[in-house]
Amino acid sequence: MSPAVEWTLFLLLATGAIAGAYRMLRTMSMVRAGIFLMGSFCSIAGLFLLLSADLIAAMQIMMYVGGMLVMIVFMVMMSPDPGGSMMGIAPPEEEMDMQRGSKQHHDMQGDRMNQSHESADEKQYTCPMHPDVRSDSPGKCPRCGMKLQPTSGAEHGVMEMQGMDMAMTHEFTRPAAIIGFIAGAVLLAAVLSFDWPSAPGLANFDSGLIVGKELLSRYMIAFEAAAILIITGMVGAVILGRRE
Amino acid sequence: MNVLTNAAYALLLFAIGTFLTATLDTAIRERVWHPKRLVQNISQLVDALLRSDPGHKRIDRVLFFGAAPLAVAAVSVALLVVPVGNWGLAGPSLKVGVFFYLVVLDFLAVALLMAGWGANHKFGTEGAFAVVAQLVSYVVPLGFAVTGAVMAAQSLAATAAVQAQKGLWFGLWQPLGLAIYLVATFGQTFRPPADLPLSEDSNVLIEHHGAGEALLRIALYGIWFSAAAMGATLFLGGWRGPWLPGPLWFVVKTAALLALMSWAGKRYRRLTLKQMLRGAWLILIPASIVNVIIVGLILMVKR
Amino acid sequence: MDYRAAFPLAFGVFAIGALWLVLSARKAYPRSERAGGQRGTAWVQADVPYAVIALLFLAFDMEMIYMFPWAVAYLRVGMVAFWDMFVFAAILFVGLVYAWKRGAFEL
Repeated sequence: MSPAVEWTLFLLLATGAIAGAYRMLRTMSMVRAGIFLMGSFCSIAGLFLLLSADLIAAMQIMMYVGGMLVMIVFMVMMSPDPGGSMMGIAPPEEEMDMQRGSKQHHDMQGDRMNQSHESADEKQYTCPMHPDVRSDSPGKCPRCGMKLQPTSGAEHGVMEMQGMDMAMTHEFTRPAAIIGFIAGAVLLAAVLSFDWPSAPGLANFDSGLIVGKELLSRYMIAFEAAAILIITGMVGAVILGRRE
Repeated sequence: MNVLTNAAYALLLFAIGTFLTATLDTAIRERVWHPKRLVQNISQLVDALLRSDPGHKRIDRVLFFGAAPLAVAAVSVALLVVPVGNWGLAGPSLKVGVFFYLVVLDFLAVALLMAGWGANHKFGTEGAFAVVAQLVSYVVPLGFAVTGAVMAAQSLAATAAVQAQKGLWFGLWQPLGLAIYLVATFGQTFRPPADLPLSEDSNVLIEHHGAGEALLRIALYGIWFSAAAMGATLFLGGWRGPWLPGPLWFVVKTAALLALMSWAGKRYRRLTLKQMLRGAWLILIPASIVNVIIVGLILMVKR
Repeated sequence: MDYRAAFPLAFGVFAIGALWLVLSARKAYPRSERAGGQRGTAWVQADVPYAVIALLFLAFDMEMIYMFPWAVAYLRVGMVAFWDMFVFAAILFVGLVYAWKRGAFEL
């Protein structure tokens, strides 16, 4: 493979890996988050392929696609708004009509929210964590210091849902981002300055055979120990999943 | 230009394979063998591909529109590892071909999940979760059944499996493996009777029309074709056979498996999710573990 | 590099497909589609009865991953390989039976 092609592929895959992770962090939909993270991991698997690590690439994809799918299933089970519909992704139709200024009274059957009757002409602002805080102008919440968000009928109803905290942000966003950047910079510096050992690539090899032989000789104990680890996980899953 | 020939090979295989599969399936299920029907099907397909698939206002645009391209891309890559003949095109260099193929099956399920969830419809999400349930339950027995062939071939490359079947087809002395492979394929490719996610009230293709729906259906046929092709390669000797050229044997064997599965789809009633999950975990997976042990013993004895 | 063709295929087909769909969907939603299929949203928290089974799948997925390299090296390593996998499979089989007895498959 010519260097130009290899570089192009590398840049594409690396961008994919980073972009996938970024989109995952920024999205409001849990399902999308799972898919984006899957995409990020598959880009990494592509990088493995570029390094001729074909077996590991296949293992990476298999594990992470399966894992992300299971994670999506659990997110739908655990989170109140797995699709992000309250948070901006494809908001329900009624809400969009409201924002266009119509003063219709909507009745959402089969929906779990209480729609509150709100005139779309005046904009109110509320704190995502303290729904009783109201203001006519944007600013900060007097209780927690969070930026006030404009209300819409949908969000309103959501906040009234058994007092559940639907906030996807919290007041530590900025410090967290700073810590994240610093940690990333430190890691990057460490990676770039380390003297990585390099070995000449093998010409024609069968990854499966090599790994298999290792598993059955040097790593046999680890092989069997893995089985114990796995069954521990299985038993734990069954116990935790037991319905009362 | 090796890359381009390989890519072209996969795409050509996709096109021809899907076409043959769809034709065969329609013929068997509707008992129609007239060539005029074929032309009708093609024109219907082209018509659908040209129509738009707008979704509606509340879809998740990324997931909804990303589903069909992902499905089609996945199937194309899957067909890269299927050896049609002794040409050394795509086959020989992909030493983990079989594993590769299994992995790509996962992507089709992801695409269907995206399609079902992205449509923002109750039936769609139900179908999406049925897809995940089936994937999760049937990929394991599929993998174990394939392990038997891998053990006999001593390699994860599909071409090695064909070479190793110079004497006896694997399917003949691993009948359990072949049977498990076929049953698991139903669950993995969502073919009837395991096509719950494509039924009326649990339908991942709901709200999809036109080109998007057509591409997804094409991908479904394509993955079924690739599964049958892989089955023929791993258990029925692939393109090996006397007198006739390799590719022709390949087509014959693949078509035989497709016909068998098509008939089964017509004969049996659609399975419920409970039946499918219990069948997979309580029968198929234990059987497939036993199969690996049996194959292991046979191989040890044959040595 | 063995898998050169996989990349252009995957990216290329995906890009072409996506372009096709997005271009063809540019026009406005027809009037009849406005109402959508249902009111409200389908993206709600829902109970998934097979959640425990999904976790069991992860365990067996790992077993499959171990099994593939093992299978390739099987004949070249000898009887030790057989007993190795026998123990491995037996342990996981016990886990499966436990899950069954505990009703994980009573949907």
